Amino acid sequence: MSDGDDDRTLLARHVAGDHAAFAELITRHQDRLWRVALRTVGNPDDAADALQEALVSAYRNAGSFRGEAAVTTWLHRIVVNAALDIGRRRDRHGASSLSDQQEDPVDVGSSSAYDEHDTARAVVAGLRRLPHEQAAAVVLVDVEGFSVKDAAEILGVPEGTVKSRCARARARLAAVLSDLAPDKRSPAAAAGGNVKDPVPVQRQDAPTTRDDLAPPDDGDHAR
Amino acid sequence: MNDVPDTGHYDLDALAELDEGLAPDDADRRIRRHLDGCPDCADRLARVRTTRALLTTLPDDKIPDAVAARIHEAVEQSGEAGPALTGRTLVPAAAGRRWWRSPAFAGAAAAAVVALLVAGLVVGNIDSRHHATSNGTSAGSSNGSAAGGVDPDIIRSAAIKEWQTGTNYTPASIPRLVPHLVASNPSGSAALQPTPSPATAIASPTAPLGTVQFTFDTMRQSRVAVAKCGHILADDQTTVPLAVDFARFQGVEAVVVVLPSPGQPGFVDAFVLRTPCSAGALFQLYRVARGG
Repeated sequence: MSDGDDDRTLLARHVAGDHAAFAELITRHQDRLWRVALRTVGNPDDAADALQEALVSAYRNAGSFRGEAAVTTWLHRIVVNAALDIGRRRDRHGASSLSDQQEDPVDVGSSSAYDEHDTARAVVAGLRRLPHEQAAAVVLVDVEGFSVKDAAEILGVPEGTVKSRCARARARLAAVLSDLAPDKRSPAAAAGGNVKDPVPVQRQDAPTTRDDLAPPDDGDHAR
Repeated sequence: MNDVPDTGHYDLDALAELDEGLAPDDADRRIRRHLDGCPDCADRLARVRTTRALLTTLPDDKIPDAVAARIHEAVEQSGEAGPALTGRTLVPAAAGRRWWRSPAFAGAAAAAVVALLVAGLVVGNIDSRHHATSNGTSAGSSNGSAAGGVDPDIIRSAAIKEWQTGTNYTPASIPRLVPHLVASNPSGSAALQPTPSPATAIASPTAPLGTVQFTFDTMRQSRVAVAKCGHILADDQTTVPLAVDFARFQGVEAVVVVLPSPGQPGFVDAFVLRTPCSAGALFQLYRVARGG
């Protein structure tokens, strides 16, 4: 995983006091970091918290970066650790114990067609059912294309552990996704059940009067 | 991953480990021999490989704009170099009579000053921009007020607290910061620095509010324009903003216009304008407690 000299230069500029440099570094990698955080913890709110916590930490501790790994690896390590911490905290408090959920069939929508959109939804829903450590491993390796070596460095575990987690994750996902096949879809899906969509829905502009506004509101409105 | 299980088949875990190369050599050979003669296990292995392939095809989702803005803000705030959301915005100071310090004042039209003085009600922090604007407004007004034909908004607008903090607001920071716009008094770099403006800052002072629009520049130049913008946003002719801040919202230039919440004295309504103020303006509306 190479990030070239630019990332290192940006980080060095930041450490030297150029605060805009870190913003540029974040901007460069934020989409990928977001995806890793989101698919590790399973929901956008926790992912945003993890990403914020991680990047603030990276900002403050950039001076400790020794340059032994690529900057992207370093950033991913901090983000994944934050995501795993948040995921574990959630599990301990029973708010969203994904790994303990029963493997009920993944409902992929009401359409009779089995298309790519349904597939992506089902895969994402399947990832949410994995233990966070397995999700992080398989997301890094299979989804984001990190080598096992880099993933091991990010996760701070031996390469064999990464392979093992990936294998278990794929096995578990395969079991869940088997319901995707059109002839094996759940009765709910066949009957037009709701889609379990992990993607947050963007609010649409809608006419609203101030009289019915409950504080606070964040919707766009146009008069 | 040893002998064939009692079921006579290998499960997904065993096959996934085989596929990952985790099986010891002897087990690897044994399972592969079994696969040659077992369509069920071969099908399960195919499912594992399909799953792996599906994972590689997930879309490259982008970080939501709101999340990105929130994170950049948090990082910025964590720095020692000066967060964007504190200091300039929130430091209260004694109210100043900006008008006499304003470079624009010296250039204001004498007639405009006289017009306001005649009105007898213009005191305190009305600056030269409003003198200039009042000239244009009263000259063109057909529905003048009791104050000798002077647009009543010239009087009403005197109380608007005008800020130019440059703050990059976010949905999360609005409830925390907006109350300070109302409770504190702008000063120093946080105060709006007026620029000389022509008497026609408000192009059509007598036109129906449904047909006019006020650009951000116009509102910077004219407190009366801010007042009229308040009328548009409140959809009435008397509500005047409590405060206005020329700032940013999630990285984009924006004007925050704070109005009293109708029927809710404990709250204020913060309109975040990202387009010129008009009847069709696009804004975000936040109702926040006055106390933050």
